[in-house]
Amino acid sequence: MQFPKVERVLGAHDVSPREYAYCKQVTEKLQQCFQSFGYQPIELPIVVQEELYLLKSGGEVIAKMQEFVHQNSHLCLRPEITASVARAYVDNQLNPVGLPARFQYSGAVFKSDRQFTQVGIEAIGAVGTLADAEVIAATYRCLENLAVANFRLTLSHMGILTQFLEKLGIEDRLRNLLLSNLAEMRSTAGQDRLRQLLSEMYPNFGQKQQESQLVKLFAGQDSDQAKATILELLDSLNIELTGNRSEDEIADRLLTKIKRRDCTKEIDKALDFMADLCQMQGSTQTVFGQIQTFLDKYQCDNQALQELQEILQLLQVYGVDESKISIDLGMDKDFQYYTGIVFEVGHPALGGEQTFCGGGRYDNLVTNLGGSPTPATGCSFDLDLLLLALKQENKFVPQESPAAVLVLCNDNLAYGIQVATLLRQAGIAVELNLDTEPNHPWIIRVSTTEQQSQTLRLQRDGREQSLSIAAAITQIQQP
Amino acid sequence: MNLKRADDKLRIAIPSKGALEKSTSELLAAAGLKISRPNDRQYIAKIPSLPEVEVIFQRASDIVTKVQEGSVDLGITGYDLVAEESIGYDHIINVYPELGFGRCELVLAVPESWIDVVSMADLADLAIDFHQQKNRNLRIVTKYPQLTKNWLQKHQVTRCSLVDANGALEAAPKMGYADMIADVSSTGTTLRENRLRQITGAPMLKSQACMIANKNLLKADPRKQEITKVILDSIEAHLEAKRFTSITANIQGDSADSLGEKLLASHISELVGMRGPTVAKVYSNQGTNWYAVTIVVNQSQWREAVSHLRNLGGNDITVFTPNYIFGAESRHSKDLMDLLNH
Repeated sequence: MQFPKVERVLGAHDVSPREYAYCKQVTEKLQQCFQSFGYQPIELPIVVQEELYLLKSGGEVIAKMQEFVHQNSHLCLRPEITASVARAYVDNQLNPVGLPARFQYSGAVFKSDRQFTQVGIEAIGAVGTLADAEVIAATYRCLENLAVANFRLTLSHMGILTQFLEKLGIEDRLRNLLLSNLAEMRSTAGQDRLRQLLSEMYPNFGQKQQESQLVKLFAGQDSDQAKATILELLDSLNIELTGNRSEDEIADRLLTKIKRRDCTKEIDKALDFMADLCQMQGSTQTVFGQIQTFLDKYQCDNQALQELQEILQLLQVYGVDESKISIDLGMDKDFQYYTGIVFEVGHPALGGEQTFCGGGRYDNLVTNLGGSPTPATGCSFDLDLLLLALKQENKFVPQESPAAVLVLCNDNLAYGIQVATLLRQAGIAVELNLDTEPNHPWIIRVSTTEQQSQTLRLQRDGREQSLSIAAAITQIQQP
Repeated sequence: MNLKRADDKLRIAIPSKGALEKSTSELLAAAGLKISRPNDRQYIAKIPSLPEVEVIFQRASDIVTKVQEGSVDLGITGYDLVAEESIGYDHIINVYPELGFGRCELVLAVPESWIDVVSMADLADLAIDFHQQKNRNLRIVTKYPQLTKNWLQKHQVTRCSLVDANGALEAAPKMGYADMIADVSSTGTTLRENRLRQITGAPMLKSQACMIANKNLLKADPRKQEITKVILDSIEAHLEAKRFTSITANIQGDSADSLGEKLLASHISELVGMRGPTVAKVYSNQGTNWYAVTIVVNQSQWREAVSHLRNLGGNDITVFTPNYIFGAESRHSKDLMDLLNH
């Protein structure tokens, strides 16, 4: 009976020796570049507590994780590595020589639909635009080292929208929802999707509503009175109390809800602002030409604008080509922890939507994970997408690194092993086979005859000579 | 994955009991594909008009798995089950998404007494309260963990545990092993009887019965594709026919052309038929100039159409519901080929 094939998991892929060599070359280039900026490598667990990605205010830092329950712990495969670095920093007080602490990493990450490799850096405890510029400059240098030509570096600043939403008094959950859906405001279809989602979350959104009678009713009562009223109401409605919550709990939460300002009224203002913000995109000159008017229209301060300008000046000092940079204030990020400058690097090979590198400032993450207030910034490459871009530009030729020498020993295995061992000790990669189709730069044939004279037959390009083992080693090692 | 079977009949799984079973059998019979089942305990049956087909009766909840495994080629079951169980299997394709029966919605429902919980936003807040105050997750009992999880995630509800259950979920909140439920509801009666209330906003999923297929099996066998097309075409022609009524009347007129013009002049364009009236001469002993006029109109408009014909002098008006309406090509057969070649 033939057994059915076991297939690989959807979204995961196998890397052949040929591709592996290619990936390794690229990864090493990135790592060397990060090293040259002082980023020290660390290695972190792939399985993490799901808690790491759950926001205190609800919602997830990133949706669509591969999560599971193991021995009553809620775990997930890490969907990215930044939060793990911050967690490790808090956990181990990883700041041996003072701040900022510079880390780099490389490893597998998992979203619900795919597995891929991230290579990135984090500067924890790094304040100010100097650090942001350094991260961007390091990214730029990596791309230069890899000789990528057609990339586009896009900058934005999360502060503009967060500040405006804060001013509207929008609660955390709604704020996170709006922040992570900013780019939806670019298209009519996206706007419809976002409005649909909002009306599913907040049934009051989009409805004409009068001022709530309940709010008026409870406005004049202190909380004990109000609670008594609610309990009486529950009682008189003859609503049977089933389920796992007590009357008290229900009344308390109802009161909190009534007293909390209903911010659905503010959603439309937020959406208008977001739609306008999305228009701020283009070359640095174009956006700087329009942004002041925009900020004045909505009475926003200039801090984000100033930071963007500082970064651009610093990037000039780093030698970053300004024509490669554009600004897009409608950029939204997969991760909800970003607070300041954010950036992405895109490439024509990836289409308009995807980017092979992204990062930015996340000043609250360390605090949210139980650490003391520590600003931080960083970025990471999606290696798989970077490879796509490199392949399209024909920049790297993948090469295998098979063993240089094949030892064939069909009638004297013991001597074959002895010869192979001596060659390996000399640092030469050797394949040992009994009999095979030779496809190696060097072929060594041994048999009992060679054993008696402690020699071997060395073949290269079809020419064969008889040599001592030492002489063969010398010849193979000659450049 | 699929072991070769001795014979190469096309196997279709249909629900073995309940409302879905009755409606499925009725639909197939009305589509000219009546099932012949020797007795109710037999789980394999035939369709005499399509001898290449074998019908397998299965529990509605097992049908998606049977199609996925490839032990059957086609299956008819609720879309709710398909949406839940086909996640991660791209070889399960929906070849007839709307069979027109078994309508229901997948909803979240809380105990009636939770007057503070109305919207998804409330639920998201409540889950955090549970986590902070009770030090445990909000527990939702459901047979639809994938759909529920995705919906909660999309609406920012985290810190929920989904509790698996079989049988009546509605009792779980009362019995205390879950706080609320996520389940299908067609009229809402069961929810109300168990003192549960639906969360306001759109349902998680709107569902009705549909037909699914194993893409790999159909792709590998052109003969099965042809039989599947016959089934799709028959169902489509029947469901299409249900929407229309055919009306024939005898009318006197000067000529077929003048009568045709009069009919087309109706102020309600839908009343002149799908593509316009058919006018044919009647050879009658009772005077000359009689013509038979046939129009096919929307089911809802047949009375108006009858008045319209009477106003033009119509007599002997017969009204039929057609058994089948076939278009130039079957839309679902065409979609099937697109799905197979995608």
